[in-house]
Amino acid sequence: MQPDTQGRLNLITLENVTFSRGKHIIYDNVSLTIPKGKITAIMGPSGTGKTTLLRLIGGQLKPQSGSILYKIENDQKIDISKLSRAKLFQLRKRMSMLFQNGALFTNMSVLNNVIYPLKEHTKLPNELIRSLALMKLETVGLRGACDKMPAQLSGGMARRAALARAIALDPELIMYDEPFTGQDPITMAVLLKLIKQLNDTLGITSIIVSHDVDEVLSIADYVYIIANTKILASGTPQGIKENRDPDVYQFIHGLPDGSVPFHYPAKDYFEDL
Amino acid sequence: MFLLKPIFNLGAFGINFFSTLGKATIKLYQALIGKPQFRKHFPLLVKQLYVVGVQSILIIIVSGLFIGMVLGLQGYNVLVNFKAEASLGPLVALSLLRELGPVVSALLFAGRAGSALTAEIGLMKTTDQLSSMEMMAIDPLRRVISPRFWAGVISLPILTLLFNVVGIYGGKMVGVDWLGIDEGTFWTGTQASVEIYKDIVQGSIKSLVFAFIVTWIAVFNGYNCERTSEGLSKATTNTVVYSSLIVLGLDFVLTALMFN
Repeated sequence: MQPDTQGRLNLITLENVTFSRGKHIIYDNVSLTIPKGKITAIMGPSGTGKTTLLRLIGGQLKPQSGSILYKIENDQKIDISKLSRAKLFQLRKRMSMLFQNGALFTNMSVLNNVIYPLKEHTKLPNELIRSLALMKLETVGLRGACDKMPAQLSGGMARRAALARAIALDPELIMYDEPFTGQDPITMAVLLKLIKQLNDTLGITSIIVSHDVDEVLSIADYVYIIANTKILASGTPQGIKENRDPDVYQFIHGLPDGSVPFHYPAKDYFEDL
Repeated sequence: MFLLKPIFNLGAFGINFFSTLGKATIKLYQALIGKPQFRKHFPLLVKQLYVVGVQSILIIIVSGLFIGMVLGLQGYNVLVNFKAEASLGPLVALSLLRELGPVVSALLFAGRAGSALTAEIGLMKTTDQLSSMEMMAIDPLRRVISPRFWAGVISLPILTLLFNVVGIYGGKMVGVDWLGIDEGTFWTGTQASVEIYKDIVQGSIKSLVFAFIVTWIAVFNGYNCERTSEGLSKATTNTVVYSSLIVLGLDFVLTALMFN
């Protein structure tokens, strides 16, 4: 599958985005597209600003130049980076984000965490909101844990609860920030199944930021590999696996030494001793 | 070269100070602007009034009582030399209403409630709770910052009045009940010398200003804190240090404006 160059099927288009923190350049003139209704994976070594990309799409950070277009009805596109605060909050009702640690509100129970966005943005009666929230929790398998406080949950359960909260308002886009980091194999499999299932059944556009190569390649429709402020490679999981570019090869196969050297740049070893 | 460095540092400090002040003002503006939705915002305010205000009552009462008692004792020891112990009531009441009440309450409030606000908001930021709220299209400035800010602004002046009342009573306990000044003299003197506008209203204005400053510093430091444990501890310390210093400095300015 190739992303549609005309952009009709793309939910999000980044055009020539440049972003830096102080003197540290994170993205240098990057363009990419996120196809609608598909799972797109963003991979790359730690510290290349994968999470930053999600924050740019979410409008929490503004690029120094370039535009981040979000397609709404009638093929209209709006530039997230130029929206006013009020319009940005309006647009955010269409998207949601799963944070690395879940970011559940620690002062309320799991059920109330899921109820919270529903209560804020809908005018439904309380009974209905409660039922909706329970249905979302049922989807992630945590209906039985609805009265627990976030502190009582394991890491994997917290992420699933946060996922239930993220889908509470039926968003058209979910951004997953490192969903698999630090999870045991069973939880990992559960999360993979959930992400895939949400994408298949509800047609939610998904962006997964991760460096768990095998897991991500097993469910993604399209993959971008980011390194050193640029897009290193992009393509289908199959294409990425067969890519012979030394940088891509090293990353996908997890080799300790290669074009990304094992040693952090340093002066001569003998001189230093 | 060695002369240049301090000038350079001063410039950097100045730029840093004013950019932080600017950021804090913009955040405050964003938190307070917009029409309130009473159904949603009022319960949040009530909860924060409880956390920020009601839970500070004990420390305010205990400190007020002891400060009043000490004032009574010290005042008596000096005044009795001039056979002027009848002025103990005015001494205690005026020092509390004009100075000690607003200032000491604000300092205690900064330590008790201000640091707690900073730590709470800072931890919410560190654990991405504020970010996740933003991504849910809920503005954390209005939902988290605003009720805490108003709770502080409302609570501190009331706590200050409580501090004053308890303090004056503490002075009376020492002066009248223990050291034997005539009760009638004590209260008549107090009543005659305290003026509503000059003492009570102006003291309350002071504490309202302090409330604004202390709570502003507290919520902004939390909102602006770095996402590390050092950042959080620095933010909490800054809240207490800055608000104490600003309260003391501002007290002088306000006193000069009001009583001069």
